[in-house]
Amino acid sequence: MSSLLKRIEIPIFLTIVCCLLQVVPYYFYWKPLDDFATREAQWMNLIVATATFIGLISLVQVHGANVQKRSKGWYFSVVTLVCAVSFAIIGLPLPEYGLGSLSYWYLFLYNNGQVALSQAQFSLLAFFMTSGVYRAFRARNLESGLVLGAGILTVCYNAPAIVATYPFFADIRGLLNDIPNLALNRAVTIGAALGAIILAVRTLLGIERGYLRGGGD
Amino acid sequence: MVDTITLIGIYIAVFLTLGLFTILYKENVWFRIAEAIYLGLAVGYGIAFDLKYLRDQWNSPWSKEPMLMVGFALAILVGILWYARFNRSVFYLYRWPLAITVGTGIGMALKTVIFSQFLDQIRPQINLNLWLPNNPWQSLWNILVFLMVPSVLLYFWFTGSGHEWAPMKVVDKFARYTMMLGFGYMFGNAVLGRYSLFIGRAQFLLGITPNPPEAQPAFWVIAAVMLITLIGWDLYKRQKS
Repeated sequence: MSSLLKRIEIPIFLTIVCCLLQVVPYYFYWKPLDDFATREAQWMNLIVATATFIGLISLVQVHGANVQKRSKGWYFSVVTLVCAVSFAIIGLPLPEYGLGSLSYWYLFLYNNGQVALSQAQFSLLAFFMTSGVYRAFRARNLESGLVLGAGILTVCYNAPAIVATYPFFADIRGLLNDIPNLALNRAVTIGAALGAIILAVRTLLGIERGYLRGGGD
Repeated sequence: MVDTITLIGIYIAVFLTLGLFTILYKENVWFRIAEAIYLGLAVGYGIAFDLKYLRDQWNSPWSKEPMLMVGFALAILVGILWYARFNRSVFYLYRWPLAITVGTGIGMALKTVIFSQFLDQIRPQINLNLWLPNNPWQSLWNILVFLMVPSVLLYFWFTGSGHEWAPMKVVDKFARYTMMLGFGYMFGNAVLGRYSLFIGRAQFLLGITPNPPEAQPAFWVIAAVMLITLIGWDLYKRQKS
């Protein structure tokens, strides 16, 4: 029985059935099937949400081992584990026990911890991108000159003082947005869509099995 | 005046913000603390968010009918199979929820991608008006877009010997110019997006409205402590070596 359950055809079959369940009612509309497909998509979201503890378990595996072995910087692992477990407990959706996403301590940690750290992390990129700009914005040839020109014009447009003094920067930015940027985005979107369709068809036909790898067999 | 707990919260936010910023000096203990807290909070937030989603789903549609209740229980049972990935002997069970997720995802993508990303991009490209008698500039811009899109697509489609063909060299060059202009534009916008985030953080640290003014003294105190400890630690290590 176990060897039968291990067969790779089972997940491939599940993939094909779930995929067709979504696609068929879209092209050949039949209300009961369409309703079922909608419900199945919601059902799938429940399955995905159930995977939530995978992150915590992986975190405990990695950082727990650090603490156990007293590896270098193990005390930072303790901080990580304490924060993860305490925030998860405070965020448990049990408002009747004073927990959950609307509780005082959850909002306290979210606003002063999560939000502050996320904003600081992304704003840090400003410094790294500036050093990237220093290297990328060099007119070594015509192509890099075009990157430099387009970049500088966009930066000038986004500086209110410059646009207030020289309004034509707004027109130039409009041209950059409406011509090369539009063309590039359109071409990339078409290319990406073609890639996505091909990947979907390959997966649907059972040719693409990369996502089923792992586990040593 | 704010209450003590709020003040502690402001000090924590300032400490974490500055802690992350200290990486600009070098790898240090303040950064590592902020990084560890960030990782922990992010994992905890994910769990809280997902569990809230499950509870909300149970409360609104899934607990209304017996069949739906069975469906909910079945989803949880199938979801538990995710954790089979941690045991090698039952790893194969982990593939079942994965297959359901991937299959449904592909199905949903197939019915939307073809229209929203593929046809909805090709349609305006075909409908481009290449000759507007009253607006020659717009005609020129439309002609440019009309040429740029296929040139960029051809640049990526033909690889290897396809590029050796003489007309393709012209197309390649034109496509590269288009891409460089587009990338420059996007890069300029991305840089400024990050700067506006940094300005937001700087305004918070300086206590500029609408941020709490108590953040400013917290900023001076914590920044001084961090600077003194970082420089002091460096001097101590230099003296020791």
